[in-house]
Amino acid sequence: MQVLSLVLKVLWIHPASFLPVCTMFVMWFVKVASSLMRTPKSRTEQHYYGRKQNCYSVAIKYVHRALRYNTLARKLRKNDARELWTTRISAGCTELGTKYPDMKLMMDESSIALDRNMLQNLAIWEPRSFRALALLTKSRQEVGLNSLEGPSPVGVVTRGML
Amino acid sequence: MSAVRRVQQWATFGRMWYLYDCKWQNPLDSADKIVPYLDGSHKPIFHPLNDSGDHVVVINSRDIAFPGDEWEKRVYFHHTGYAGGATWTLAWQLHEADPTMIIRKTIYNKLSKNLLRRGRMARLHIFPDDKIPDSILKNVSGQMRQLRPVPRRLDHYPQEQVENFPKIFDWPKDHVIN
Repeated sequence: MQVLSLVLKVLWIHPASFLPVCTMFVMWFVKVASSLMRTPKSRTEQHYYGRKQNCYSVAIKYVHRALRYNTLARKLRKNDARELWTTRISAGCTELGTKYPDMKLMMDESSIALDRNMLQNLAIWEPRSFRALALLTKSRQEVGLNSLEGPSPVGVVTRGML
Repeated sequence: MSAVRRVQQWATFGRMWYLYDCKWQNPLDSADKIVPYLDGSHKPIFHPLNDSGDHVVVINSRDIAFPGDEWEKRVYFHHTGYAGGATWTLAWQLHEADPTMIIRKTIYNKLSKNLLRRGRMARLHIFPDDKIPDSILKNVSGQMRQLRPVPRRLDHYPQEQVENFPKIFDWPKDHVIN
């Protein structure tokens, strides 16, 4: 305020007659959040509400929070993807009359090292390969996979045959 | 797109209408079965935001069968929002008032609690008996298997089959069964 009065004295302007001008002067000399707008480089805050979008000292807190959430989400993204894959694989299994836990058991025994990502891709894009796995699961449940007894599903080659 | 690919596209992405007869079925177990069909979790192409859910038409909701003493014990809570507006309605009372409410509330409470729930509930069509409007019956493209086999009533069997059924012993004619 001392600076303001000094400036007005220098310019010989009466404060009362130039009130709008005064407010402009105030913005130049008094620290306000919006006056410190930095040039945007990566506008994380571009879609935020109100002053969080335009004023640096308000926005920076929320930007920091968003970046913290981003770091934590790296692990959550992997968990979510795995959960989705499991849902998809068990859906494919149910369509073919088996269950995913049974299929996992069969794969462990036969050392078929397909992870959940590959299995869900097979279920969507390679249905016949996935069906072969389901048939293997069913034969394992009826009779052991390397057993000579029991029916051998058509189109499936087990290690015992080779 | 070739004809084969077009058929494959329709078969994968077409929305199915399933029929479910809940006569003498447990509504809680039926809801466990119906919810994945409304979500789309029964399909390998599932994603929550994919809108991959199907329609389910539930018939004979009046003939639902709760196990044990659930009809007398299970309560449904409702609050109007005003002071003193809390009500606890027993299952049999609610069923008398509206025979579709029980299965509807069961499925609503089993769906995932997000904004997609209302849309999924809109794809559920419940009828108290087996009278379905033609517009819906024309869309039905599949049927879901019942969970509990519906037992046949003794008086619905032919008399001779009942008489000829092998017995280990029978009560004497003058015995009074209490």
